[in-house]
Amino acid sequence: MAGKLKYALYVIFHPFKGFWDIKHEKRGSVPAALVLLGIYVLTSVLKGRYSGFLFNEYYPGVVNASLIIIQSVMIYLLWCIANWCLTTLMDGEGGFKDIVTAIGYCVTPLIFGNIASTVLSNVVLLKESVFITYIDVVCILWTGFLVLCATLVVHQYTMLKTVATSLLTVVGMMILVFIVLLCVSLVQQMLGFVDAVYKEFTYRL
Amino acid sequence: MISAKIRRIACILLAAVLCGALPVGAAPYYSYTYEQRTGRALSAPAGVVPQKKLDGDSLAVGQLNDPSDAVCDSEGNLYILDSGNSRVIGVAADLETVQFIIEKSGEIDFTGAQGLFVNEEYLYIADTDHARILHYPRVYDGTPPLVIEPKNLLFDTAEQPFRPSKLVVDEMNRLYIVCTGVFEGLVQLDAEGEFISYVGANRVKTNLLDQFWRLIATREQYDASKKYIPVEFSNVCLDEEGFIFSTARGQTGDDSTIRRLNLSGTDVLEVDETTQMGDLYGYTESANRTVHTHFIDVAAGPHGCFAGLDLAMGRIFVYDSECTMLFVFGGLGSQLGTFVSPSALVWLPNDGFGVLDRRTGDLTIFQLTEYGELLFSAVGYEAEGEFDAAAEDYKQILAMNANSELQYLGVGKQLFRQGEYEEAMKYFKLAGNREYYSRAFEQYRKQALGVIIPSVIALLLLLALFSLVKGGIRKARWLHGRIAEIERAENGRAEQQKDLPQDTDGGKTEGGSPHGG
Repeated sequence: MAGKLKYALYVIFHPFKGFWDIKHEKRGSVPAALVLLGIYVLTSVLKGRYSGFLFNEYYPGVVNASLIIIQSVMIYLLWCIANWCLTTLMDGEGGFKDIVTAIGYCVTPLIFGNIASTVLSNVVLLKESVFITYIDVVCILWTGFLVLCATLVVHQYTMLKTVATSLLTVVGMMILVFIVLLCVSLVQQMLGFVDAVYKEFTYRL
Repeated sequence: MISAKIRRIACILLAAVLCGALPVGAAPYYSYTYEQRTGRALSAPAGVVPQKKLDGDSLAVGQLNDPSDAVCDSEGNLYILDSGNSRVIGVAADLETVQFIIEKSGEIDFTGAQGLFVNEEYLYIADTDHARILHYPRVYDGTPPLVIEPKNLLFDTAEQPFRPSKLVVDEMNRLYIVCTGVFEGLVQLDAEGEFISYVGANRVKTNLLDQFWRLIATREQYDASKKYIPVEFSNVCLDEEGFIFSTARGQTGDDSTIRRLNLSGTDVLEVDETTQMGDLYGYTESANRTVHTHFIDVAAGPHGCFAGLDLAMGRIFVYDSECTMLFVFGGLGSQLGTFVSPSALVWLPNDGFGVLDRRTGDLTIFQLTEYGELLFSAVGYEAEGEFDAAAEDYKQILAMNANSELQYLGVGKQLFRQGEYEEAMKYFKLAGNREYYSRAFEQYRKQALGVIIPSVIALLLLLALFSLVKGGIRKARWLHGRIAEIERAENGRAEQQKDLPQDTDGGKTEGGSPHGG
């Protein structure tokens, strides 16, 4: 397991070979990917709580950890599901396990970004905020690039097809969210109906 | 269970506690302050409490009918414009004695007049329905007024009648008039009524979409489209330095603003585009109607403070010279301290307030509470540069109101001036002000690094020295070892030489002496 986690450091600097080896040479695994995701969620929560006053978006200290956890996990999960649905239709070679593993390794730059951001935000002035922005942006772009590479390698697509699939995946994520909201609303209505009937019943007795 | 006696005692105690808990002289309106960063409303102590009401009966002048304006002069004399009965009632500073009443006489009938202005020498009435300004001496002695009628106005009075509703007069006796229906700004007339210019038109806010359409629309399309014209002023008032405070309804309904104009019409209030005055949120009356702050009067106080009267919720917002809200009072209702249809706001010289209600025909007088007095005293000290005294006031205010960001900022600034950067940082954090926190942090960091960096460098130097010394010792030992080796080798050779047979001319064919490699 430790070896598989350490492999993440290799993957983020050598994406193409890295992702290939994850899939075919078994250098990565699903538990390792999930551990990396867990570390990312942890650092996000710590960032929300311990960011310096000047850069903390949650001042005055009302940090809702559940919200941060759900945000981070849901984006990952939504992407994986939407990507799997789409690539199954578009002749991708990767299965769900492969996607989960690969994307899990992709969040590693974000882990470093979160840690660096948290530490720096406590010692940096407003007018030096460029450093933090720089780190944040670089890590996000890096992660984006890694995700693209992961899609490319895992499904064996050409670059053009990868970009197209990624955009369609984003659309897919939005559709998924919409459907979930619809279901939630429906269930709410149903429960409301049952509740009203029950109340009516008890009042008439 | 619990015996009857104990229960009785408990009830009496409870009643006593509840009675003691009732606030004395409580105000029948909300007192709150807005948190800057999140826009939440936090409760605050009341800055003023209602004291009494002046109406026609208490002044013994007969009921007031739709009074539309009231002003006070620097001595505290109050002047009420009783528009429905076409009279002006001058009340002395004790707020009980009536000094004079200007009534209608002959041609001079100013029923429906909307505006009143008083300065050291004169009293002006904006006679709205008769398109004229009436000009009296301040201390009325029965003389008929000077009638000022506007001449040479830029707009055609047949299409757009001249309806002066509010006015102020500057030191040069020039009149600045708010005219109903005129959106080019205040109408500036000279003392005889000659039109001089428009002053201070409100800015038009266009959004990005409209600007985009403007770029690509043809001339005809643009001419046919909706025009964005500046909003009309609703009221004006003069402050002690001769600036004109003006109020206007918001353009999009939620940004009614108060501006402080200099005499050439430029706004000198240092606010950025995003500062919103009045209530930050509208009040949703019904599904289609959200009511937002609509300022209809403004009054100027000392040290650049000003107060705005909001018609929508009947509230008065009091700000300091930098547009930070000090406190808010008033509301709609029928209790003392609330109004039905407020029409005018007066800032009394002892820092009390008067609010005129046109529907009930009375003027409610408000008095400062201890909290309000402290607020103004702190503002006064800040304005005069007595920062220590101001900081003392701030601490007292914070003891009363832990929500008050302005005071945290004030204490923080004072600590910053005194060089206590770490304490200042704490206060700025409480005030939620990132700008000042960053400044204090910069200084604190310099201080801290001023200690850390030399010590880190010293440590590094020490380490370097240590490693040099260690290396030196090692090299010395190595050299020593080599020398010993050479000596041993030489000794060995010397031994060998002794054992070898002696040659007569051995010296020339001697092998080279072993040189150290």
